[in-house]
Amino acid sequence: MSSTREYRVLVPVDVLGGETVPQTVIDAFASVPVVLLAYREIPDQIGTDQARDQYERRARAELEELRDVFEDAGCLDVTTRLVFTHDRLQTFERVALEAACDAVVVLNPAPVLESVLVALRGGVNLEYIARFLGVLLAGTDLSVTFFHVVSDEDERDQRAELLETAAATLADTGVDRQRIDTSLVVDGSPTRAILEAADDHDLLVVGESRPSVRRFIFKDRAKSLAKGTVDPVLVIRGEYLEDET
Amino acid sequence: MGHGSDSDLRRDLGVFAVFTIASGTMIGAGIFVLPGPAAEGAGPASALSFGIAGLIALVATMCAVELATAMPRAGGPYFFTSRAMGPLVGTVVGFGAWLALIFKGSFALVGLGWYVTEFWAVPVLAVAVVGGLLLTLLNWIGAEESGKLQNAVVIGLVAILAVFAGGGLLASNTDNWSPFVTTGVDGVITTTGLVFISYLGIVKATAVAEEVKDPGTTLPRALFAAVIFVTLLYVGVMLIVTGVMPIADIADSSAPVAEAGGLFLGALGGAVIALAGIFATVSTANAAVLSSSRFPFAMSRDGLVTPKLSESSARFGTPTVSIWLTGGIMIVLALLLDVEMLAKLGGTFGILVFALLNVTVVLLRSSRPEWYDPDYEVPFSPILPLAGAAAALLLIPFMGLLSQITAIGFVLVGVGWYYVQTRTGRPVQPDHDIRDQVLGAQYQRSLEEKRSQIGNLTTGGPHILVETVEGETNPHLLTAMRSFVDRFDADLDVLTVTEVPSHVPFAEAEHDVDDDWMDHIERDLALDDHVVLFDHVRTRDQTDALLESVNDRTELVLVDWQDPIRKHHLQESHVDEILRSKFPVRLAVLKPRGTDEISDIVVATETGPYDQAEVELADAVATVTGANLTLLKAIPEGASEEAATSAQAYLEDLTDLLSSPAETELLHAASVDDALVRRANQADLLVMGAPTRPDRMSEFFGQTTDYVAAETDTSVLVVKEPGVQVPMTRRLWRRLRRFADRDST
Repeated sequence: MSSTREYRVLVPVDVLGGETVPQTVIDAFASVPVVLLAYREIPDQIGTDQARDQYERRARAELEELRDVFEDAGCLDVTTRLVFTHDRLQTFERVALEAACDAVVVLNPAPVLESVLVALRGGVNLEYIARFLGVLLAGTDLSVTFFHVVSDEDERDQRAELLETAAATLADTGVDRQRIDTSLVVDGSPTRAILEAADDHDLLVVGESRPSVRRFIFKDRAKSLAKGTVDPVLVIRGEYLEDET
Repeated sequence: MGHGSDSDLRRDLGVFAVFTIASGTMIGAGIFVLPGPAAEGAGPASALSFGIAGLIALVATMCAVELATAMPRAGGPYFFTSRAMGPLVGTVVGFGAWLALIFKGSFALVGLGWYVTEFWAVPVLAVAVVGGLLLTLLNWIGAEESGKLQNAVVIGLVAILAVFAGGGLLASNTDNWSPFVTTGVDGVITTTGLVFISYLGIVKATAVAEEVKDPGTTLPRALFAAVIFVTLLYVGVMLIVTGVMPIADIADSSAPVAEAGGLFLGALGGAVIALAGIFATVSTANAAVLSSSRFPFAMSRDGLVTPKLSESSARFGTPTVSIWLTGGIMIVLALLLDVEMLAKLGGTFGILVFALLNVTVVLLRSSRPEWYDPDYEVPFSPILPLAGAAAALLLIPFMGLLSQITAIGFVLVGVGWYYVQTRTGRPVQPDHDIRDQVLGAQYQRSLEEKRSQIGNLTTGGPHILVETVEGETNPHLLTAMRSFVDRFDADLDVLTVTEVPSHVPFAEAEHDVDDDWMDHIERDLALDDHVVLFDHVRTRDQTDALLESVNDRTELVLVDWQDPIRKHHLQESHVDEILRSKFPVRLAVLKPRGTDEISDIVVATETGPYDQAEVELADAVATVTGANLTLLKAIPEGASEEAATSAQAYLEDLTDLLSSPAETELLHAASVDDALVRRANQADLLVMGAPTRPDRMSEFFGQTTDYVAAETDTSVLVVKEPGVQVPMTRRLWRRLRRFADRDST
């Protein structure tokens, strides 16, 4: 198995805007290498070099503090980056590619973190996502629900198989089968269905379907996903992206 | 491990993206506002004026591209000129570029008023003031749309102008074009100055150099295409406007492009063009406010203005001061001056900036500083850039008295500002100024002369870097120079350094080149196959300057030891720093004491791998002078027989390395150092090694090298192999002290 592979997670934090990383999220991601990206979106009226001159010291101090928190939680591999940008989504995407991150965490407050909802779109990347989760879940007692939305009853059987494959792959990585659940819903609006289901969970995991983190998180359906939920969202990048870099 | 220098930019802009950006910096208020005044000034020939102005802009763009590919830092004209010609010229260009932008913004505000009156009967100036206030406010609160507006507008404008040009060509009445030139050559040139403002901004486009894929080919292609495209567009629009309307009507119209469009595209077409005019003028005025903090920011980094000007405020994250300052001046100017005057003033400052850019290229080309390595080079330099600069400057006499007075007054104010700032403020950057480039150009020229004299000579081979001072050159130093040139088959780089204390501005550190001294050296050395290149630098730190002059062709560094030697400790002297610095090449320091011929050389050997350098350099001198060479080893009195034998054997081995015959000699002495001094005094030159890795003990108690070099009466050549260097603490201390010096001034 390729579970020995390191899955790296990008955590963008607007440190100067007072954003913090919930302790529950820190604990959940302490088992994988983390790239902390302190970012600040600045207006077009000033240049990034200007902002850097003015704010770098403060932002860097905040970032170092955050790094300590991650290291205290047992995270062994924390790298940090600091950017000032006019377009944060473009920057996330660029840094994710540059730092070879496999997933991006969109932060939201998470008072408790016990259950994870994994929204699957189809067969693409399914095994990859399952193995990733295996690494992430090692050493935690989070429960996982694989979730899929179909538009009509006819597809139900075929898709149920998909969920089973996912659950089996995850169980293969050493996660107790008892902790893994599956759920299949018939609904005309997948976004609404996912959001409703997410209400009962504490972390939403979605796979990236198109070759762009940015487009996935923030355009069309995915955008409403990230904005519509109060949970943190983990966007897993497609493996096929590796070739692009 | 933080990535401190994350530039937040990626190189992914292609030719088309850069072309769009560059076109966007130019297309705007100019072409919508100026056809009226231009037609009045030169009739249909005003199309020619746009063409001439475009040509001048094209040459300036070439220069800007060359500079941008050599300094791919988001810098703009201020950065280019100040790096090449120093902070004084930089100050003038920085303020000039800022003012040009403000004038252009102000000009656009009045133009906005003109186009708005196409729809509503409101006072032009009221529109300008309200529009200016709104734009300033929007930029102040950092409305996201203020930045995005630009791109959308440009594409729309190009489309509309293309339709205008397409439709208008058919509708033009060629009778209107004769007479083509209505006001003579003077009129055409005056109009060229008037419309010049339409091309400002293209230089700004070079700021994207950092984000461009393969800038050496992408930038020139995209930018030249943009200038040519925009020029043709302007020429076309001007021809059409003059083709469909009589000159008198154009001159009377406040929105000539819209009215001309109305004639052949119908009332709706006219309205669309009028609307486009509003967008164009707004986008131009907006650009001025949007980027207003860039100029004071670049200058504040160099200590030329206070950083307060460009600092972003806590409230909206935008640079409050520069935005309101720029917006305010724009509005005031719009109230005070008419469109033509604003266009001419903006054009005048733009011309100054363009011309200085051209001159910068010529200067840097001829002095060729080490760091200047552009990916793109302007063709036909220096003729083309100089012609461009001359053509641009020749427009100024046609710009009207007010522009000329303003320009001269402004340059004086800029110079005054610079002097006040350097007296009262922080130290300014950069350290060098135009004289360094001129000096560099001199050296470069003399090098080329030599090349042409000697013919097949190349300087691509090894070099020996000699650091000395001007004036009398000691014959022993000359002998060493000649010996090493022969030995290494190398050319000589002779460097003189003026160390300027940190509280003295560089501009005040005078330095005159001593031609006699150079001639002397050249004559005395009488080298047939090699050249001597002279260079002079002004610096804050002599050792750093020497280090920076070492390049990958440098085979050996020879330093003329000028400092007096204090016994036992060389500490803190220039030579001490040199011996402790990490030089990437072999280093030889000569303390010349005698003036006699060198006829007797002793080499003090240590037992170690480093002796080879001493022996080799001593051999080089011996070969040239025919001097006796003695390899010497001092061993303590009472050393065992065995030690003496192995020392003797070692010396014999060393002689095998030599090309000239050598004697060997063992010195038995109670004090090795004193014995060396006594022996050296009988010779003319002592060659000895400096420890490659000085250890703490000897540092504390004083080293053999220091002591012997100080005590002896003969010339001493201290040789050191490249190696790992110097206790960190010492280097740190030096840095700290230098910082303290800087802060206290």
